[in-house]
Formats: sequence, structure tokens, C-alpha cells
Amino acid sequence: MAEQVYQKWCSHCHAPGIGHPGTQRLEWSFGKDRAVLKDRTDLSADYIAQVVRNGRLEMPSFRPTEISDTDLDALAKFLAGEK
Amino acid sequence: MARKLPPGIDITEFEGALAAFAEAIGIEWVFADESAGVSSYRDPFAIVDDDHFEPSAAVAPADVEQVQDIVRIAGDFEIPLWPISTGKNLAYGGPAPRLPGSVVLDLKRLNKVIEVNEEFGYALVEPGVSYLDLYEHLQKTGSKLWIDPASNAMGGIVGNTADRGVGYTPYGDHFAMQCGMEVVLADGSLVRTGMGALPNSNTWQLFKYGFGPYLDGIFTQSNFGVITKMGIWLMPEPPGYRPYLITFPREEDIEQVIEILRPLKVSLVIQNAATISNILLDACITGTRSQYYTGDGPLPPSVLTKIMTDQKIGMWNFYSALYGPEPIMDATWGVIRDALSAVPGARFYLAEDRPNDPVMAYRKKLMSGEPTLAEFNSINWTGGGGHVDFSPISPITGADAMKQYSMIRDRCAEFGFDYLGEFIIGWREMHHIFMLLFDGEDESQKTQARALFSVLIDEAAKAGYGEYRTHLAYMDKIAASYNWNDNALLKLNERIKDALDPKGILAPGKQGIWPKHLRGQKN
Repeated sequence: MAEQVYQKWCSHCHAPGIGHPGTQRLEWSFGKDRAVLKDRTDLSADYIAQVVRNGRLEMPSFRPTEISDTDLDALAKFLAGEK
Repeated sequence: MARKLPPGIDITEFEGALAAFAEAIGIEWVFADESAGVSSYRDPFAIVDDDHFEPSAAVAPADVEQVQDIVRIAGDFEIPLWPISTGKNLAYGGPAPRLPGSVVLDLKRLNKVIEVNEEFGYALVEPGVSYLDLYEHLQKTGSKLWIDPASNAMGGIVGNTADRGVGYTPYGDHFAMQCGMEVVLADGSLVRTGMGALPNSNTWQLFKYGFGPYLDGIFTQSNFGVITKMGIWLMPEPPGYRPYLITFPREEDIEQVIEILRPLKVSLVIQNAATISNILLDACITGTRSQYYTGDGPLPPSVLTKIMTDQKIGMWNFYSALYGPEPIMDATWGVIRDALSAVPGARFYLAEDRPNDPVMAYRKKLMSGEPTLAEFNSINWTGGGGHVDFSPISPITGADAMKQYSMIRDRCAEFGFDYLGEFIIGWREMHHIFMLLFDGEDESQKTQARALFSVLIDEAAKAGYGEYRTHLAYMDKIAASYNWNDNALLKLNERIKDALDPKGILAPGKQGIWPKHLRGQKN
């Protein structure tokens, strides 16, 4: 389920490579090895949830009607690498 | 932090309204505090204070009946509502309300693709359907129809069309391709426009005008009703599609290029909403300013030349496409090539000539109805994420384009911003879109950005140019610039507003239209 949420809401900006603004921005800010969201190991689930709900710099916010609290919880844990 | 309340409503009344909303749609769909996610309804790219356009709460009905319930309850408690569809109107305020303290009416849950008709080429959709949603639906069902997406794939078909946004295929004038609406009025009653007013009609999405006054327009860029269904025409996949790019090396080329393009567009040799984009609007898709130049002030000619060399683009870049059978595309391409070869240094590229060019790749998608978010990278150009569009209408004439461009370019230089812009060519006009980028976390830059934006509005109006759409913060100022005959149009809008929404609960302030009890106040 978390993978589906990621594909629908995150992949268009955070998939690897050019044409994905989130990846490009993270590469310019933190370097190639911290550019692809799914490869990151330094992000906490709480931080991810907070950024999704409030946005961060170029990233807009996502509402509960877009990503429910349940889906957000699963997505945040998925991206933080928590089982 | 004190709780945000609608103007003139005390906490008891507000909690009464929230309770009534909860009873109508379920408590889980009433978002009234930080933990429930109400902060996600702010403008993510605020050009003013981050929490200026802040809602008091948000409510998310599931269907039309619940929308009617919400609207009636809001009328009973005199609570201002701010309807949003997908809430991704990102250069113009996002999900945030114009009147701080409003309750956002989030229509995202109304997300049904009600009908797709392959034979006649149309869809009937609810407001929560985004361009991505409809595109994926058509892909899944094997449809042979194209959507015409805005540059932001997360945008909503109903929301973008109701704000009269534009796209890039031959169906790029979104409102021209709209056909039929269902609208909840401020008293909660339900109306269908056009042929939808005739029971059992089978032409609701086929004939726009119906019988009697043609009202669809008054429900666009307004606060006269809440659109709950909209018909949109979809382009049948053409037998052939050939996107192309023509680059022009000099800044002043824009004048000659547009003079050549006008007759081609007016006679429909150019079939789509083609765009002429400035060098930086292309450069920012793959790079940042600091990668090319770290100094202040406009990028020097030497840096612009390097960008042109690196990316094989020009100072102006014309993205368009051919649609139709191969022989017709060949003939049309010949006409266009001959015409634009008159511009010294023009270079011609078909998409296949630039297989690894990310800008050509995303333009190719947009011009064939494939949604993408690639253009979003433009707001990485200077970092900080803030961006707002200044979007005046221009005739399709070289002189006007150059006049608008140089006015904005010079003011940008004065206030310390880059000009990232494009002209999108419509039937008889061009949408000139200037993306004002600023660092959302740098207050002094935001102050400069606000100052620049205000100067541009005044200067454009003095020259006879008006914006077609704007950000929450500038709705009043731009509405005031459309003041012919002592503000006759605004006064008419206010009379319609008072007649349709006497309590003034729907989207107060949208496009500068205020309800009676809030008119003249500093909102």
C-alpha cells in the first residue's frame, strides 16, 4: 500500500533522474547520493509526515483528502525504512 | 496560538457550525486544528506572510448532496466557504482562501470520472479529478482520447478550467472546450447549465449553449456557485503527431517571430497552443542559476551565450507540434519552415533531433496531452521555492510582445529578479506568463517581489494590458484595473453576487468580488 501511495503522489517529483524536480533539487542541495528519496536512510518518519503536510521550499503541501493520515503513516515509515 | 476564526464569528458559533458540518459529513472529514492537517490548506508558496491566507478549518464532503448540506449549514451560521477542487492552483495561492478564516470546502473526494464518450470525444468529471487521474483512467480503459493538461499535472480539470487556465495541445483553451456544468448555488439548490437543464437530454456535453442566457461563464473565476460536475471535450488521438522546436538567437527576434506567427496561427496552420519561451524558462528545467552565474543583477550576455551553446537553444524558443496525417504534416511543416526561415539564425529541430533534451521531452508530453511535473523544476532556479505568476494578455503582435517583455525584464533588473517567461499563443491573443521566483524564507526578497508585482500591475494597466488571472494577494488590485466606465464591470459582478449569494458565504474576495457586508474593508 505504501508503494502505491508513493507512486501516485511522490514519484512524479522524486523518481530518479532529470525531469523529476524533487530529485533534481535534493541533488543540488545534498549531492547525488541523497537525491533519490527512496534511497535515503537519514529521514525520520515524523520528518517526512511533517514535510508532506506542510510542504518544504519547492514542495507543496498534501492534504488529508489527498493522502489520508493512515496512508501518510504508512508512506512515512516506508520512506524512513521502518518496518 | 489563538484559534483562527471566520471574521465576525465567535468561538461558540464556530463550534456550532463545526458540529453541524460533522453531523452532515462525518467528524473525520472536518479538519479544524493543526493535528488534523488544517495547515496543509495554507498557500505553500506565500508571497505574503505564510499564515496570512489561513483557513479556520476545512471540510471535505463526499458527494453533491453533502456539498449542498455544507453550503446550507454555512448559510445558516454565515460561515464563509472557500471551494477548491484539487487545491493545486500553486502559482496563484494553492488551497488557501482569499478571506483569512474562511472554511475551505475541499472537493477532492468528489473524484469520479462519470463518463468518457469515445465517439464524441468528451468526459464528464467531478472537481476532485486531476489531470493525472483522468489521464490514468483513459490509459487504463484503452481510450483513444487525449486530455489537455495544464503544466502542473496535479491540477484539477474543473479547477483549472474554472480559473480559465490554458494548456498546450489544440485543445489548449480549456474553457472553450468546456461543455455543461452542474452547480450548487449559495442557498444549496442545484442547477445544470446548457442542455443539462433539459431532463433526459443526450446533448449536455455536445452543445455548450443550451437555451436562454449562457451562464457557464459566470461560474468561472467567480464566487457565484460551487461547480460539482463539468463536461470537457477531449481530442481524439490524431493519426500523426510531430512536435518541434525552432530556436532564435537574439533577444530582439521576438518581434519578427511573432509577426510571422500571427497569420499562421489565425489561419490555423499552427494548430496548437504553441509557446515561445525565453532562454531562462528552458535553462531552469535542468539547471540552477548558480550553476551558470553567482553574481547579482541580470545574467550577462556571455553567460546567456554559454547557456545557448550548452543547451542548443536560443534566446527565444518556439515549441509547437503538427497533428494529422503524414502528408498534411509534411506540407504544413514546409509552410512553417519557410515562413520562419526569414529570421536570421533560426534553427529547426524535430523532437527526434533532440533525443536527450529534457525540455523537448516534457514539451513533447504537454503538447500531446501527457501530464508531467517536469516544469516544476523551474522553481529550483534560484531556490527557496516561492513563485507567483504575472500573466498579462497581449495581442499577437511583435511590438506588444516586445513592449511587455522589455517592461517586465527592465523592472526585474531594477528589483533584482530574473525574467523567466513565455508567450502561449491562443486564437487571437497571447497569454504572457512571467514566473516571479523568490525565496519563500527570505523576507526581504518577498518584500521586493511584492513591490515588483504591484509595479507590474500598474505599469501594464497604464499601457492597456490586463492580467487574465492572479494570486489571492492581487485579486483586488487587478479587479480595480478593469475599471472602464467607473468600475461598471465590478459593480455588475457585485449585483450578481448580491442576488445569488445575499449572505456572501461563497469564496468572499474571489477575483475582487466581495459580499455586501465586507465591501470596502481592508481584507
